[in-house]
Amino acid sequence: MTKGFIFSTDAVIGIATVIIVSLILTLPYSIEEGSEANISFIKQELPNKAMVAFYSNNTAEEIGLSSDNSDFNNFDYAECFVLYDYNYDSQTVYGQGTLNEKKFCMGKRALR
Amino acid sequence: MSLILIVVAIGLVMQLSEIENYNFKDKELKDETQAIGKSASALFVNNPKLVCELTDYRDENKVLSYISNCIPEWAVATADCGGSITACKTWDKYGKNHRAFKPVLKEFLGLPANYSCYIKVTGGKADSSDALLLSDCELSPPAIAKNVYGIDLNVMIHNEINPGTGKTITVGKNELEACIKGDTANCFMYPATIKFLVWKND
Repeated sequence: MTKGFIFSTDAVIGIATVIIVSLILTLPYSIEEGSEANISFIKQELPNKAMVAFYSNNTAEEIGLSSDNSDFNNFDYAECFVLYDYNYDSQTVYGQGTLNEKKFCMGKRALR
Repeated sequence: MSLILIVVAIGLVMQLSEIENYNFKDKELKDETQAIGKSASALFVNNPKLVCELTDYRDENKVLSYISNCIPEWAVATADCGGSITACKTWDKYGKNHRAFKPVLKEFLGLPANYSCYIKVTGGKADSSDALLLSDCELSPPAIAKNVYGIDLNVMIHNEINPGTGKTITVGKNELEACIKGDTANCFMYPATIKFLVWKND
């Protein structure tokens, strides 16, 4: 009587190979999932910072932002928040006046 | 030998599927907490029930608009809102005519009953001390909660009782213009950071 496939050396080598390959492929994934940070903090969102700067008469540079969307070479893109305020000095009795544009920009990195 | 390896292989597959199932449920909870937390933080700085009211300088009780990112400080004696902090939290809940302050209630933040929150204010006063808000959030951050959404909100705290209305919740048009122009003598809104945490109760 022959041993049959299940008791053969080929079967042992085949199944052992499957187990080792499975472990190699799934172990890094398991470690990554297990060590992932469970608390996520998002700090200083652009609109909130811009509104506070606007109310307190601060420029974009004074709060660590930029007043234009250039010079962000180290980032993937720039995000800007623009607020418009009327010019108090040039307004007329009818309430008409020029508009002041206040731009607040920050560099962003794309999610990878 | 092969039989042993087959048993090990089956065990391995079962363990991996269990890990996969756990990760899926964990991700689902994390995504839900993120969505509810982001929504709550947006409501915190924009909901008319929570932010300052811009009033006409000719009639301090006439609300022209609401000021995003401006949070009024709780500057009312407990005796004037039901006698205790607990009573004060619900005193203004349904918009009484003589509103004097705006408690930060979970329902105004859109938080379901099975969610909790934590608020810590840094700054918000002329002398840079911490302003006071009244809320029904927890008094301390979660000790063992697994998924927590956290954000630092940049806001202005208004803590001057308006002489025209007797409230901190109203900001006159002249005062807002003074702030924007940098006239600190007539501006009573001060920069502050609110650490805001949201998590689901176990």
